[in-house]
This record gives sequence, C-alpha cells and structure tokens, in this order.
Amino acid sequence: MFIDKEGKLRKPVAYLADFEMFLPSCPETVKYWKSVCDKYGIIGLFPGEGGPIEPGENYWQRVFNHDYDWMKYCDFCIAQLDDWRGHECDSGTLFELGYFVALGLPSYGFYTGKKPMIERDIEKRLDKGIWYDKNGYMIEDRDYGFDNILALVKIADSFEEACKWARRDFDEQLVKAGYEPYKVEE
Amino acid sequence: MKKAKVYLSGPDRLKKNARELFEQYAALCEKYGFELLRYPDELFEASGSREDNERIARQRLQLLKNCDIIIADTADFRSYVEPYNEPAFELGAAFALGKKAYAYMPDTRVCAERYSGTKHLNDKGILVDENGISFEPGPLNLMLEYGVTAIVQGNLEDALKKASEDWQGGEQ
Repeated sequence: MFIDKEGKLRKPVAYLADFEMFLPSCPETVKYWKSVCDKYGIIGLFPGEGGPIEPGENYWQRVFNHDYDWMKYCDFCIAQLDDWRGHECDSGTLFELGYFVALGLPSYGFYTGKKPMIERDIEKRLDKGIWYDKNGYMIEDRDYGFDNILALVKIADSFEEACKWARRDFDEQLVKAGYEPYKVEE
Repeated sequence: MKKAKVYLSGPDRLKKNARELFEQYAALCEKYGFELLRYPDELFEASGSREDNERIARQRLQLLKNCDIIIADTADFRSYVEPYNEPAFELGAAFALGKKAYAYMPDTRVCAERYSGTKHLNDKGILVDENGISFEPGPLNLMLEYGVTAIVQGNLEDALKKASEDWQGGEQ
C-alpha cells in the first residue's frame, strides 16, 4: 500500500526498467520479480506486458509509445543497472530511470556486480593518483561507485533489496499519515 | 532575444583537460547563439564525499530543469554499442521535462552494423551477438532513438548547428 497523488490508499505500481526482454531467461526472471514485488505489496509492471505489438507501419515508434504509456501509468521505478555489453548500464533502462527521477517519482536501482567502477574488470592506469580508463576518461570515485548523476537514485545489491527499500519508504509515508505499515509475509 | 540555455551531457567531463574543454564548449555554444549552463566546478574532480556527490547531482538536475535544450554525446563508451550512462539517463530526464534534445555520435550506423564482436543469425533468423542477444533496430536504444528531437551524425559543433537551425526556425 501507499498513498497516491490523489490521496487514495492502494498498491504502488513499479515500472520494471530492464534489459531482460533481450535475454532467453526473461520469462523466469520477470516471474520472480513479480513475485518479490507481490511480497512487498507492490505491483510489478514489466514493460512488455500488454503486447505483443502488431507488426506493420511505424512498428518501433509504436513499441516506444507502448513503453511510454506504461511509464506514465506507473508510480515509481525499479531499474536493472547491471553491466550491459561492456561496462555501462543498458541505455534504455537509464533513459526510463531518468524520466522517473526528473518527475520526482521514487526511483530505485539494483546492481549485482562489484559496485565501484574502479574495482571492475576494466583496463585502467593510474596518473598522479587518479585512475583513467584506456581512452583517458577519469574513473570517478566519490564513495559511491556509479557516475555522479546516478546519486539521484537509491541503488541496491539485488532486486529484492530494492523492493525492500521501496516498501520502507512507502511505509514511512503511511505511518506519517496515521496508517499501519504494510505487513510483509516472509 | 534571450539566449536559449544549453545543457551538455557526455563523458568529456571525465577528461584530464575537461575544464579547458568546457571553456571551448561555452564559446562554441555562444557562436551558435546559445548560453552554456555550467556544471558545478567540483564535478571535474576525481573524488569527493558521498554527500557532495549527491549535492552535485541535485545541482545538475536543477540545471537540466533550467535548460531549453540538452545536447548529449551518445558515442559508444566503455562498451560495444552503448553510450556513457549519464547522457542516457539525462536524455530520459529531458524527455520527461519536455526539453529539446539532440544526441550526437560520430557513427550513426545501426547497432548491429557498429558491433565489433561476433554476430550470427539465431534459429528464428534474428541477428544476435555471441551471447544470443539481439540488437536494437537503430543507432541507439529504442527509447533514446524515439525520445530525442534528433540524432546528429558528427560532433558537438554539428549538433549545436542543427539545434541552432531548429531553434531559429521556430521549432522551439
């Protein structure tokens, strides 16, 4: 439960920004994510839901519109920030996450690898106490592990931890308004 | 006429000579009739506290809210066919805020053509990489491709030129 912008008490809907749709493991992963969401009183919405989109003219624009419609529908975002084809996150996932952050909606991420870029398997060299990658770009280290702008997002170690954090934040809001916190069934 | 405010997004802030570069970029913005919104100077430092990190990020989000146009370097970065994290995130933020958004990259061929790893057709006839992962249809992820005003092949100056033509042409 949470209190929506109209003051109604209902389950919050999470936009699950991810790159799973590209992977063969997608159905199992999404099923697992949705069950975890359910445990924490959250409705997990996978952007592929409501499909498939009919092939034909402007297909990709319609795919974009489909995802955007879901983004507008959701109350907050949980984003899969693991490395994607290299040492960066999936750019589509980040685009969606940035959308939620800019609108001031709760935004969480999860990263299951080694957080600080400096500790990842990346070709790097030290110059006057600063690490640079092989192309001369500084590897920033502000006690966080991600690029500066991602400090606007709470990044957990797992999907479940991100759900737990979201639940905690929603519970805080509920308690402040005089409601009982949500009872998570272990 | 009031100058349109430009926010620049990309990895150049991580270069050793970033401060000088951004001076040049400010002059380039000026040349095309724009005002560059400046990052907090601390952003050019390599390290800092977590609190400072959050504060700087919030200041940047405010700059993004204050801008009229975002111009983002979406060239492949530390990966095969993915841009640097920050422009991807900031283009999404700009889309939410209804800003004009330009992505620029030196090579705008579609992802599969740019991909330097191994590719093959899977059993469904779809082109995939060595891990069986398919490619986005365009030069960027679908959300970026359709979430920006234009993708410009070239460098920052090419993108500024296009943004300036659009702005003066009344597309704002």
